[in-house]
Amino acid sequence: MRQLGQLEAMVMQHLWSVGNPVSVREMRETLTEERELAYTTVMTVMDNLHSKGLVTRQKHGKAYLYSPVSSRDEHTAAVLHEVLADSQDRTAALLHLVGKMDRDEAADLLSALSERVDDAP
Amino acid sequence: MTAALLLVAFACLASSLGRWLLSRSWAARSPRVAVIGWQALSTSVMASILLAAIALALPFLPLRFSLAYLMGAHTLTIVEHYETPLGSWPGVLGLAMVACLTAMLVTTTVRSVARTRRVRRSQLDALALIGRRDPGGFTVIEHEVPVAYCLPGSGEGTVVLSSAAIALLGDRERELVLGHERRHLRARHDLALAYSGALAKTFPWVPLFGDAHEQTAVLLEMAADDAAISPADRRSLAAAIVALGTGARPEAALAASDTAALARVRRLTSPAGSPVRGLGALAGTAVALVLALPLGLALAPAVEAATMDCCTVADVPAHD
Repeated sequence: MRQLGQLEAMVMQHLWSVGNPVSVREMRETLTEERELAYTTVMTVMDNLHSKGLVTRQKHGKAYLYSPVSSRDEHTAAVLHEVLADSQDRTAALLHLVGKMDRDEAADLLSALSERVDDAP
Repeated sequence: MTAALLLVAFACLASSLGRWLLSRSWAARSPRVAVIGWQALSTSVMASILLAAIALALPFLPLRFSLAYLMGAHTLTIVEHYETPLGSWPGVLGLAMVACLTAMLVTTTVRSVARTRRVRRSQLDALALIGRRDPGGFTVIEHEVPVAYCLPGSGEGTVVLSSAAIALLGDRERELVLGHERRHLRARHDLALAYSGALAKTFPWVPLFGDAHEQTAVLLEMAADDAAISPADRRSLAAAIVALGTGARPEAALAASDTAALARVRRLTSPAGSPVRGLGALAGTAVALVLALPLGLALAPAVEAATMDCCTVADVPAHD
């Protein structure tokens, strides 16, 4: 299970970096540079990603071509959006170090901070 | 009747007195003690209200027999001491209230547990795809917004820093931030927050629970700050919080300002306050008292009934 998760991550990294639709065969060739993988394993991983809604696929001849649904940045932004939404709800799903600080107030604190640092011997 | 009135009066008094006491300046100096205080106070007030309702219904609850047996008094005497002048009406209402409050609390708790799991699950799934494991024992995500947070869990939990946060922080600052997050994870601060959150969400009209939740969140941050630093590091951690709090965060434009963070920075930049002496023992006694009193008050009429009964028995031979 853990291994499948790692493979999913590797597949997504590759899809995000190449930027064009990729077939299972091509994906296997890329991944095999690091370690030997069965065609069916790669197919299962890509099928999982499809059922999770992370990739779309189009039939091209006899094979499917896979491409990511959203870019890596969009995906990251969605994760951070969740972090922010949760820290306002405070449901304890995660603990956020600090929310948005008011710039003016923070500036005052920061100047107080640097004064003391300057005072220090 | 007396028991219910006493319990309601106690709940009102304890909640206003407790809120005042726990909002004093000592709380920021001993945040851990203050968190325990808020938890004990919330539990005590909740227990008082439930016990008050049960006391009203006692005259017709099967519980009256066990109570009579336990107290060594006649069931009738016990019933007399808990009866209301209004008959069984208040008791029926009380029981309905207990059922209702309990159902509400269970529902919100189950819901927030489910939501918490869903958020953590989706975070972990996403981090498996976009996160990079740093040898320093945390996960890095590539993003231009500086963030630092932790995902608690039954295992070790996960600390997440964005690449922008790493770029913004110095080495020492980063260590302090990691120390802060790891303290949250190790001490399971999320459980304390889940408890206060469940009460606040279920009973939004009770000011005590709202205050308790808000204060618990801030105090836990302060407690994690304290655990992460040695006296020499106070300024570095304050600087790290300000840096992360004011970093470019376009998607946070609508977010309310984190006033609690300002309080934390102010606390870290002012000289360390000496811990209140003898606070531990004092707080321990107060917590024990505030937790024991509801049960004591609920049982008071039964104890009175027991002493009366024992006197009647003693009187009998004297008449012979």
